[in-house]
Amino acid sequence: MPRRLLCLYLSDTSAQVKARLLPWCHRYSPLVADDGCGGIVLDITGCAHLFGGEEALLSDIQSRIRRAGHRVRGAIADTLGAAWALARYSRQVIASGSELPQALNPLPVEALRLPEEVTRALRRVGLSTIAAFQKVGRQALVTRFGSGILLRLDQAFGKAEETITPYRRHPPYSARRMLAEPVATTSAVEYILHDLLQEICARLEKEHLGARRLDLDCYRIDGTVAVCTISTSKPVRSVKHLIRLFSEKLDGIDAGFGIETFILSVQNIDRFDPSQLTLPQFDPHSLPDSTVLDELIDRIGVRLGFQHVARMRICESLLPEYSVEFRSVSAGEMPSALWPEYRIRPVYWVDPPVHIEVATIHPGGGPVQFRLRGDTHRVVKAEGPERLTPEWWRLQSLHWESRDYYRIEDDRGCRFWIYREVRLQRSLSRWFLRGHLP
Amino acid sequence: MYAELQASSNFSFLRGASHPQEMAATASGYGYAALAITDRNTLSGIVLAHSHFKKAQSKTRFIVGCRLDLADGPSLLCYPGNREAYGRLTRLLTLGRRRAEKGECILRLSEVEEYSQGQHFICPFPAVLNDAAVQFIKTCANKFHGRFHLALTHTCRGDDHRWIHTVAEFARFSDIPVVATADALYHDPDRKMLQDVVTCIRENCTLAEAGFRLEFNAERHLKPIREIAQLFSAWPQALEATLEIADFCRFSLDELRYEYPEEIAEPGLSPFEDLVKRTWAGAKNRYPQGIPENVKRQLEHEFKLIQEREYAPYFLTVHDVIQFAESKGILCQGRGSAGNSLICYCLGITQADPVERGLLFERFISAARNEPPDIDVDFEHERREEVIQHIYEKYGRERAGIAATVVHYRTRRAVREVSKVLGLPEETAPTLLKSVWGWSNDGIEEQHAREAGLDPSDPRLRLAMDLSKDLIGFPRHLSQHVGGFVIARGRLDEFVPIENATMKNRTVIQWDKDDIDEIGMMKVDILALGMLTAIRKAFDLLKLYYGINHTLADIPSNDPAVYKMLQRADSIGVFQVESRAQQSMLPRLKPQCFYDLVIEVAIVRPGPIQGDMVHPYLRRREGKEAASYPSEALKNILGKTLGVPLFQEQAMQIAITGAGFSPDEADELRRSLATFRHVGTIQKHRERFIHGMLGNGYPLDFAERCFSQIEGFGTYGFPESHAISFANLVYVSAWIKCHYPGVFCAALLNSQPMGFYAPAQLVRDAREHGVEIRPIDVNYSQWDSTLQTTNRRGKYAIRLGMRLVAGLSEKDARTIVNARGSGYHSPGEIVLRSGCSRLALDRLAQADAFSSMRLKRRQALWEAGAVDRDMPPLFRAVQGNLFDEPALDLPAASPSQEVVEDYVATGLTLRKHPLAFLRARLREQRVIPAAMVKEAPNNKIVTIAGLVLFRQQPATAHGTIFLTMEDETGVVNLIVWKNVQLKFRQAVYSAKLLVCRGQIQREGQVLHVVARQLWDSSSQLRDLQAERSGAVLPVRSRDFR
Repeated sequence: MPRRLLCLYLSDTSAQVKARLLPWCHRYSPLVADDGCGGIVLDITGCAHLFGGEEALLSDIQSRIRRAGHRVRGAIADTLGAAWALARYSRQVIASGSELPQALNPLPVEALRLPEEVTRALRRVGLSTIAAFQKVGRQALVTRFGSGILLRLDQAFGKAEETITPYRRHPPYSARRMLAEPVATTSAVEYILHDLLQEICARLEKEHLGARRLDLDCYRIDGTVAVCTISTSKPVRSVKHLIRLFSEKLDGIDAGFGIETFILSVQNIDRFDPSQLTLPQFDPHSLPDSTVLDELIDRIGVRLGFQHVARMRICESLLPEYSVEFRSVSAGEMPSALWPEYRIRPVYWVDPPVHIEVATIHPGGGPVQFRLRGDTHRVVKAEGPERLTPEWWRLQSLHWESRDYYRIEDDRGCRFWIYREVRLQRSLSRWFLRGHLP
Repeated sequence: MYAELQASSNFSFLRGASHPQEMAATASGYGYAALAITDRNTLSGIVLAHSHFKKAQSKTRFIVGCRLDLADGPSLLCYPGNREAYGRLTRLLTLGRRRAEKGECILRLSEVEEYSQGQHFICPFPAVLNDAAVQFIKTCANKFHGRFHLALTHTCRGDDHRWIHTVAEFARFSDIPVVATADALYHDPDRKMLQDVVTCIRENCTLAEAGFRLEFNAERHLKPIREIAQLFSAWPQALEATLEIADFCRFSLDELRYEYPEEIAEPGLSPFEDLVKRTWAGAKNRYPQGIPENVKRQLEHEFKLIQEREYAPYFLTVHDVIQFAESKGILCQGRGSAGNSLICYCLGITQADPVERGLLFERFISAARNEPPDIDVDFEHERREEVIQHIYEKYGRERAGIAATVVHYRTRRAVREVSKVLGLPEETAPTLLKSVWGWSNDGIEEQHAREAGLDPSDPRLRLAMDLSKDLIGFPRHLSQHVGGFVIARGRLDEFVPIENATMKNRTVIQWDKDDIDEIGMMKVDILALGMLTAIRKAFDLLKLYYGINHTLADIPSNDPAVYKMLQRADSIGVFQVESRAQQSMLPRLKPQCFYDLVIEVAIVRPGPIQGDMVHPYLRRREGKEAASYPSEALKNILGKTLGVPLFQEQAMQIAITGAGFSPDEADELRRSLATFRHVGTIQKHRERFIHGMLGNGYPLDFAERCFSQIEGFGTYGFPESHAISFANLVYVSAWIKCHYPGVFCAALLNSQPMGFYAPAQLVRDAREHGVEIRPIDVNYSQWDSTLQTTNRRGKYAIRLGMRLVAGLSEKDARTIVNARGSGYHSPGEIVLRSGCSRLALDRLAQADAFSSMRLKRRQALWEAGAVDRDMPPLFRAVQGNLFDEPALDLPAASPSQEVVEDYVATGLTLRKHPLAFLRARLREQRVIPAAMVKEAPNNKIVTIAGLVLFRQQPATAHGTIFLTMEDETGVVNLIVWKNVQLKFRQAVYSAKLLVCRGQIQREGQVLHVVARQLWDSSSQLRDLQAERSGAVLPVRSRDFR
């Protein structure tokens, strides 16, 4: 029985679409593959009768894909080359054995999956169809274009073998356990999971990789599958940490009548280089182990969702209203800015700033005394001004001209961070309290 | 009192945000004792600042300074104390620049020390005092003991008092004097926004991303003395130090005494004596019948002035360059005001006799203007590099350099960069710029934005438009002047730093031509002109095939046949007058003598057009209007152009005679119009001019018209002598075209790329003149196009050269020609015998160059494909016989396919015009051929179609676009008004095949079609191929402004 191949020509060849369609095509045939030239190929040898014949199968698969919103054209032939060509260039979409030459000959040379420069060279000399092309002696072709051209020709006509590499659902980083006896208890699942994680993490470590998302597929004996997914904020390959993350979710798995197969697979992977261990006693400045914090973030994130976990970071802006931001950990990491040491900032913000009354000003610019909520503070020491102008490209800050910030100490030894704002189109400047200094 | 010693202008590219002259004006306004401009590793901005102080007669003194960014440490500010120290500074910068990439400078502290004699140094205010900083300051203090200060700068960063105190104390303990500086980046705090923008351009980021890279406040400006005194009240010694240093740095650019090179004179003679000798010798050649008396008198007159000014070495230098060119057989001709000099004519620098033409020497060198003469010489464009390298070789790189051209921000670049920095959506800038042509300096007006469908009240857009306007005119980088050479007697690098240009083997100085003028340095312009190449090649061909020897000087003059040809506007390929605008002017102006050509060249320029001088001139010439003169004085100036000013000198003369300008003022007026430098002064000149004219009794509208013309002349007008030089080339090239069209066409083809027309039009024109054109053939063609004998004696055909074949290297072509012997018989043989690349064979096959082997294009490609270069020679030799392939019957190409392939391979076809294949279909659409348009009556509405050859939107035409299109019967010019453009935008701007419905407009022999409706019909070109061969007709129009 001749091999029958179905080739799908997709207008949208993006990886995402393919990734979705490839597993879906398994409903028609166990042998599905990326054809390597922008489409999908199914080996439907012996499958067509299940769908009511080749024609019915073809129209079924096409209409379903079209319903999903993709443009597609399929063709069935004895060879991948022929099916590929028919799907793209021919009116006739099903051809077998003896019909092949008749179906292929009128097609343009592009239908042969040749490199672009070869098709262009063929067209330049007027060999624009497969028929014209076949009249030329094989030796003459090899002399000019190399032997690859004959291979493609022979593949299309079934004179040369072409193998297809079937697509596999589970990504390469996966481990599976098939059990003789199904299990149902959480502790048993955890035991097996531990085993699987060890297998995978060992490989990840060897290849300097870390997992960002893992799926545990639990195949129940009744044929249904329960899936348990965890994600992390950074690449991870610590078994201990991963077990902990899974244990948050394992309770939710319904084992039903028992689980007989487990497949653990890494769905998302990142580079993770091993780091040098530090010897804390020799390096007093070393930061506390940051992985502890990362693990905490992962645990909170797995419970609450990563979008609900935020960290503070210093931004490159001297204006107090923009110098710090909260950033969700799911938004990806961005290091804090290096704050210039001499810019001293309060330990406690007064936000929004409180208006203070200043009557007299030193020649240097700072206030002599000021009134805050009815109390009068006499200024003993002052440093400044730290003059800041608005970040004018943020249009909302365009209504003031400049601010002079002062660090001051009053006669009672309290320290404040105050500023004077010069507003546009208003000669009067106003004073505000912005924070308390240590 | 106070002197500011640290200020960066915008010549510290993308750091400073003020022009040097703005800095200078502000410093004068504040009453500083002195101002130093300290740009980074450059002295490019100093002449501007210097001349500003000088012109304003400011009490503030200008100090030359430079910020040296060191490779092995932080920066140092350097101020030369005297002329010698200045020379050392320029040499130091030259050293650092010459060994670095363009725009970079590598200097080490040890080298600074080597050149440090007589310099004063300041170390900029340190931001930190770590070990490295302390070490550096102490090392410098030791090395430059007694002439080294540490700067203190107050920037309102909060802890200024504490930090300045710390640094000052450190200095006191280390026994280093301190000095106050502002470290200014702009003259006024308002420029802070622009400074942020240039910072972001430099750092290639948006404002939002820039963070700490931006200044946090607007304090880096020049401050009033009172304010500075208050800031530094605790450190009075730092303020006093500014004056001490200023007092030490006494060097002024006025001390630069430029001297001409000396050695070109013959030993034993002074340069002047040698010049006299050479001139008389030249005069004898020019006037073989004896030197007329008035010529003698004029020469004596010129000699006197030259001797007074000691310009003789300059003339000798130029003469030397010319002699070199002549010895190498390179054609050259002086242009510009040198044409006014009889000496230049006698020395062979220019080709037109100024006495005969009545040109005044004073316009070249005047007693009133103390500024060196400026001689511009055109050389063949293909061989100019030889001349340039000769100059470098003769004088050495430390004595000769090319002047710089400061590349400024223009509207396009400014808008694009500012939009990017502001983080506007990517498509905003292109949308805004849609209505802006390449060279605009006007920025974007609100109305443009609205037309482009954007909301000008949007604050971000507002910012973008305002800031880009500020940025326009900022220097961006230095480029090389088109050919202005500066040569000195001594070391040029002691006048000005010399740096590398982008081009290999070129070195440029840091000053541009205005700076050079200001300093009074000599400049020779070594320019390139494609037409000279073509004329030389034509002369070579004339000699080779016709046995006639010609030079630029001895073409028979006043040949009526030549003028008749030009009157017909039969001028394709002729220098200058081949453009569309010139072609439509020729039949109106009907040139009958040489001077008519001079006018023809000068009149089709933006200057006269903007000043609305063209139509009055034509009316007067045709006798429809009497020439009238507002006054007797002006009649003398305008007599030869019928009362209409057409030349630059005439405009200047009007300013002098009519408005009472001094010659210097008139010249300044011209310059201020030509450059950005004197922004804002135009209005002042205008008032002065109009007032002067009215005062002398001229009517207001005449005065205004004159001024608007002067405005145009500033940038685009021709001086009369220049127009004469060009007219000379017009005549020579027209003469060749008229009498030897074949020679002319071949010479032009061999000089491509140049001129207005592509080879396809040149070939077509030659054919229309009865020249037989033969296709490229491997067995007959040379690299260049050549002439070949025909059946008729004395008549030659052109054999197209292999240089027309796209992608074929000259080397391959030459090896094929050299190894040809008695001819090739197969493609394989070519590779075997010549060893050319397989690619070359393929290109030739694509160009259908194997007809002599009875191979059609497809067969040739097929055969060429089989040739295997890697095969050992022995196998190759027998390949043809042993592995004989059965003959293959390749499908024949359709005629239209052949045409398309011709265009792909060579850019032209000798078969039918592509439109001929579409004619049947076009006829159905009631499209008429170009030949019929020529016969159609005025005002008739017609529909035409053609390949678009040119699109042109002259600045003078208020947005009107002129389109030239071609079909198989001829060429038609379209006029597309602005409103039509808006409706048919896509078709106007990008169609290859255009269909146009419009009205015929005739003026004498000149015919235009005024477009009403336009369609892009380019898709029809794709149908030219009977089957898809992949190639599409590669028509590309040349678009001009």
